Amino acid sequence: MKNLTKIGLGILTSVGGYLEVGSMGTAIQAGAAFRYELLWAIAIGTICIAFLVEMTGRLAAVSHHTVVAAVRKRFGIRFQIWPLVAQIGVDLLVLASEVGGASLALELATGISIRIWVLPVAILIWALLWFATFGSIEHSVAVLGLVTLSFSLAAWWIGPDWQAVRSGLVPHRPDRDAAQYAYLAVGILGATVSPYLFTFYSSGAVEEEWRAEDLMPNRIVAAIGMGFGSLVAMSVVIVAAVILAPRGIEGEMYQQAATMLSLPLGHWGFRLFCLSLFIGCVGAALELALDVSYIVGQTFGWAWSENQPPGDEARFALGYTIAIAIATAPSLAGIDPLKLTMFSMAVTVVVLPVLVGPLLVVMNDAQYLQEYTNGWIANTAVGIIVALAFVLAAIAIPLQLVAQ
Amino acid sequence: MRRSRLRPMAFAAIVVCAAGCGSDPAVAFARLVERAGSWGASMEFALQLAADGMVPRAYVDDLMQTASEELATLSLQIDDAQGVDDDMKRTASAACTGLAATAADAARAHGTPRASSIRELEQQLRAAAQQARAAAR
Repeated sequence: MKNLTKIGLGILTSVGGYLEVGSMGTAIQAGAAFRYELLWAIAIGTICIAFLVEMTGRLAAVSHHTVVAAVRKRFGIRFQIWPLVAQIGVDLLVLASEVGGASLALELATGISIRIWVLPVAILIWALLWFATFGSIEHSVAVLGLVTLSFSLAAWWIGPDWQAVRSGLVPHRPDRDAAQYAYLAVGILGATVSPYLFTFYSSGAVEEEWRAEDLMPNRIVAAIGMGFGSLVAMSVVIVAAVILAPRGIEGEMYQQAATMLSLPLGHWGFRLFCLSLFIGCVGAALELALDVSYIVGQTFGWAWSENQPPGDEARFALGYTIAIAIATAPSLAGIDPLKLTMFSMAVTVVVLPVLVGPLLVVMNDAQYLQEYTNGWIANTAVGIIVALAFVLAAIAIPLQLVAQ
Repeated sequence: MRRSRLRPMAFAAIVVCAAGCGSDPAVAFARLVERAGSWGASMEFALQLAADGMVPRAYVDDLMQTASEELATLSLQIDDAQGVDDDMKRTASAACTGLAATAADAARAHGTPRASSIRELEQQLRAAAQQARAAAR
């Protein structure tokens, strides 16, 4: 039963990584423009994030430190302030996209403008954080997030060309529109390997008081949680490839893509699309707003826990309250959430090395990990992730400008 | 010494490569026209599903409204495109403007535009995009 609870944390984390507005949006565009050719980007992103999540869970279980607390202790507050500023910036941008995404799901379902929904959505997210505990948020999002399996059901139902799907899992050069292809690959990786996923996961593991005996469940949770997200993201690509691509629909805005489940799932298709988008965005927004409070509290050594009443941890509650208030601004100003998220994913890729680099040092420090420090496989994996992040950081911005 | 030389070279190679990928004006123009065609295809598909009762009327109205705004912007960008044949530009711009007007009318009147007229405009856009891509080669 306790292990089932842990799987909830894995699925909640993966909802923030794969099923939110940016990941779904890039998966739709990838499938619509290049069919199965970008499936490899999701596969690589999944391997990267599964390694990072497992490491941060291991750190939490053995040392009872979150990533941010360990980096702060190892390098000092003067160093930690830079990753903190970078991550708050990214978290706020992505949070704004999620608030917009949830509001957009309601616009699609009702026809009432996104701007009308922004404040109710923000209040809903804030109220959930204010009144609920970490466990209740974790379990409800994990269970409701299963609705996104409707994409997997649709992908299986429409019967794609499995040979082409398998070929798409191997990186290769496209035969046209190389800039758009590369930019979408960067977008998918930026949306999948998001730093808030592993800082949130390690905070959740500390909230749930994981111990050294939880190391094996941690590995399983990392694999199942990220595998779940990856399965749904690949299903989104497959459905877009079969339904949207042959019709010449590019899915550059959600209004164009909302019909993609209607043929395979009939009358339920449209409702399930809107519901999946809404649940994915609200789940990710809860994760992001909490992450802002977590990283600020852990950097400055304040009390931090979603399980305590807000009155007992006023600074923690104030953190997510301010974050949510700021995140409503772009959607109220009429900025399209998908366009905002494409920008935030490029920024994510730029700051990723700053956040992943110190983690490598901490994961090899026996003061924290005792005999559970990284082995060569984990070190190589993180090394490749950091190198990949540097390369992506160098090409993300020029590509954003060139590919428009 | 060797490393310090390599670093700016690698950066320059990345920037040049990234810029080279999308600098052809004909390809950039084709992408604009394809995006306009994509809106036409979305409108047509949504109308087909609405006729079968698979998507709500409110969604179709919302799609038409968004399409009209996006197509109006694309139409201006097509007009401003540089380095492409004027005739091709005029044809694409006219089809894009026509599609934007059709979507705006449908959104305003909560009406159902004729699928055949949308298809016709979309086909004109697809043909212009193909022509532009052929010119790029």
